[in-house]
Amino acid sequence: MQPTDSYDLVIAGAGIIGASVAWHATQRGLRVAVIDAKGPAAAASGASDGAVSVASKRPGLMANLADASLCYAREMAQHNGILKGIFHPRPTFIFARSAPESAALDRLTRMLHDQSLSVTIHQDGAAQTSAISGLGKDITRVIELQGEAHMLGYQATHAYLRAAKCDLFWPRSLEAYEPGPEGVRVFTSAGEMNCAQLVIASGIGTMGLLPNVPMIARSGQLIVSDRGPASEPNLPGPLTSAAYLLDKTANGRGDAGLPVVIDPLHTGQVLIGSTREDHGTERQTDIATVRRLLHSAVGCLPRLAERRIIRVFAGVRSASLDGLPIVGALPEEPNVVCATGFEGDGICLSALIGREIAAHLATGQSSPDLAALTPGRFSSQEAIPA
Amino acid sequence: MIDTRPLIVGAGPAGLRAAITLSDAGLHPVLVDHAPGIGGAVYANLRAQPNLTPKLTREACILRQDFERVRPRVDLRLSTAFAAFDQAGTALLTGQAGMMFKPRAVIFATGARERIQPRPGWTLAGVSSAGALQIALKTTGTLPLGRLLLAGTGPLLYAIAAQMVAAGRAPVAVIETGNPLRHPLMALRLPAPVLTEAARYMGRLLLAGVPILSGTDLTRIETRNGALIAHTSRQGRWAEIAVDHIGLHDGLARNDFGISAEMTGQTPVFQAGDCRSVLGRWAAEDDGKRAAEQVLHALKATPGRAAIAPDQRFVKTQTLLAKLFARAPSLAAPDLPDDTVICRCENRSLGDLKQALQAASEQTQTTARTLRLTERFGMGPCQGRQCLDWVAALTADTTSFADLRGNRWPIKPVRVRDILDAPDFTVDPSHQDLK
Amino acid sequence: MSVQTILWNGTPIAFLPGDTIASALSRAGITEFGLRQTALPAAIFCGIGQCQNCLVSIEGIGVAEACLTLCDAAQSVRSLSDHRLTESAHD
Repeated sequence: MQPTDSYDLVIAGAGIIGASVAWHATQRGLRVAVIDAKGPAAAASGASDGAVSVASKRPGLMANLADASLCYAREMAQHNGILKGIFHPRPTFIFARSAPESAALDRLTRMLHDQSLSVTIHQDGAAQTSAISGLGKDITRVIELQGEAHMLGYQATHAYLRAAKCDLFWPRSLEAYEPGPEGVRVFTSAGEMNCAQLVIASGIGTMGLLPNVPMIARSGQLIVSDRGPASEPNLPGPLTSAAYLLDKTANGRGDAGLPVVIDPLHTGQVLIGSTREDHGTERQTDIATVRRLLHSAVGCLPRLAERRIIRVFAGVRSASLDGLPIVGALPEEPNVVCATGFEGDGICLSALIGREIAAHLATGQSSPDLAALTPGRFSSQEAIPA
Repeated sequence: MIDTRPLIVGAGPAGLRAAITLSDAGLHPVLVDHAPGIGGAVYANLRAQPNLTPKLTREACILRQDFERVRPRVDLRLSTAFAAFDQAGTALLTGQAGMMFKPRAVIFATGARERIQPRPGWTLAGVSSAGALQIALKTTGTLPLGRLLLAGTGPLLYAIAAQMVAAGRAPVAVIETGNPLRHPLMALRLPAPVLTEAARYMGRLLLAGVPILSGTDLTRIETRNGALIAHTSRQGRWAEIAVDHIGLHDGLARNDFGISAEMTGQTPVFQAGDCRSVLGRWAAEDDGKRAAEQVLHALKATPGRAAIAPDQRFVKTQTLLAKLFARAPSLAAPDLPDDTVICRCENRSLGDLKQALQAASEQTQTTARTLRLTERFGMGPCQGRQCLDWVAALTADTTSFADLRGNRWPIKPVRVRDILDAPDFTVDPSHQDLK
Repeated sequence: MSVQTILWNGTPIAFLPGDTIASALSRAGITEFGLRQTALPAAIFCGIGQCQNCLVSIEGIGVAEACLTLCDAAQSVRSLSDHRLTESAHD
């Protein structure tokens, strides 16, 4: 087959990361094509709750990156920025029901202070003093944060792709690639493409393409409610258990309680999530797990008991073995850049990652902040912990 | 003890007959229906107060008699919704008699849904499905106040019109898109019981002087001075009819939303009646019996009937009826204005859909995922039962009906409290730890 | 036999044995059950619990389909857009 087309950059994956890279790269004048096996936001970006959260990140590098991305996204939402109307600032409420959860809140407080992040604690106290009325008696302490935001993954993906002056192709999947001196030959399900550089940002789809980059699929079940009565006040922001923070950190949550997030949508619906399962698939949801999540959610916000559930679904996040995203040029293959393994943090990190990858592609210089995320870190290790 | 009794969803003719067959074989099925009584839509008068409603047909009486006989062995759970059946083999029922259990076989007998074509004004109060009017008549013997009009296409319209006449509330007219009376010879090939029934209905409508306006479209409904104004069009000629209530019906489709795709676990699952193939009440009873026999076979209780194809007589009848009611080729489908609501749950219009398709076609195809997430079609509480037929038709070149359907549970919206309150019989009670 | 009633947004509406909330309201000439949050009217449409267009708030039950729920004597039923719901739901 003859090569059909030639680009500066081909991006495999029309999720929020691929879309952000596409827009940032076209801003730098690159000729870009985006391909996807299914379509825009077809996997984790479309299934996510849209929380742009710094508090839920691991202290240290991840919290710093998340904060930098949040500040940048905030800029892009102002004036006539690309995320205007899509990125919505809102408070976040993180609560404790147990001593381990309260200890997690203390650690969060320290992190926000020690790392001088842009997210700040507005209030920290008993449930009754919080801005949310009707909290359940299970909740002993609530921290209200200011500075975080809501951004639905599929809306941001569409906004980036709409504004990027680039070619879009789907359904078209990346099947193989061949780096050479002239650039990269890209073999897709609909023929061959040529490009100077290739970005692989296809989430769990990356797994088969890059055998040397170890990843696991981690699924989560989510529950969507009805719109509720018109008279019911919407939550001003998500209500997140501190166990959810523990779940994302290396320590694990132990006996802290079931991690649960109650996230308000602009329709008046609420999204209740989410589990973190190593063996689930996109289609797998189960009644017992959903019931446990609902039980936990009603303990936190009893008025949810009267809501009706209209849909239960699952999303699959791509995760790396060390819990850090995998971003950067492949070792030995400088013209192939991967950006995957975000495990649900892609919504928050997409702004920064898109900007930095585009800068790297255009200038050849990569940000030292992202050095720890390089895919090369796996090949340099003696053995990969299972 | 873990509850593993077989589950039958839907207490219409297929579900009742399945329950009777399983009970006769010595099993104790759980029969669930979200309505407050048995009979489903077609035999809704089985749950009515005697003497209030149209007389029961002979088949309905026999069905009730047979069911009464096995009633002590059936765990009938009314006003209870079937919410979900997951890959772990757990079924969730919610409502008045909710529970969680692990049925060792499931029969879905969820009947049909009415297909109703979107028209401007179809979301106004006072405009309902024709079936909704029939259910009211069958269960309470009453119809909404004021002048009634029936519109759309299909044999059910005439049955309902005749039942209205019998109740002393003749409709102002029946507006029929097709032209079924144009082919009397073809009609004569229908089986005798169908013909007899049709003749009875038509006779009643003729005697009552109910106009049947065939080859006519109901193009638009609006409100004026407290009345509903139906705008009709017949070969370019326009007319208005002022009424108080309009029943719409454009045929029937399988009510199989959410009950097939996910069910790949170990438990044998069967569909019976109209939710498997829309062949009407006689075929449904037959099919319910057949599904029950398949369950018995799967559970090794008896040798099962091998054949699972529906009785060809019923298929032929439906094919013939479809031909009779086919829209005349000279009649173009009405061009709907862009502000016509397509998705009644999320209030999304034809214009919204067109805009999405157009915006996408400049670049690339619109995916089913985008139509759902961004455009909200199929994302409301009815899960697309009302709109996806039409969204699929309007986007046929890019998306399929199957892709548009999420097939997510719950099958219908259920209250959180009801999910939490449902007693759990999936585990040995001595090992329960929730609550 | 005295006539039994439900309370529709506070107003007594008579019902017969076997009446659903929808059929009782419809006999009383009430076809619109308030507005849904999408600004379309709440009303009977499919009549068999599928379309979710006829939801109302029923005392002791919560939000439910008017077409599937039988009337109970003196039961209070309100439209979902009725703001008096706030007082009853949160006191």
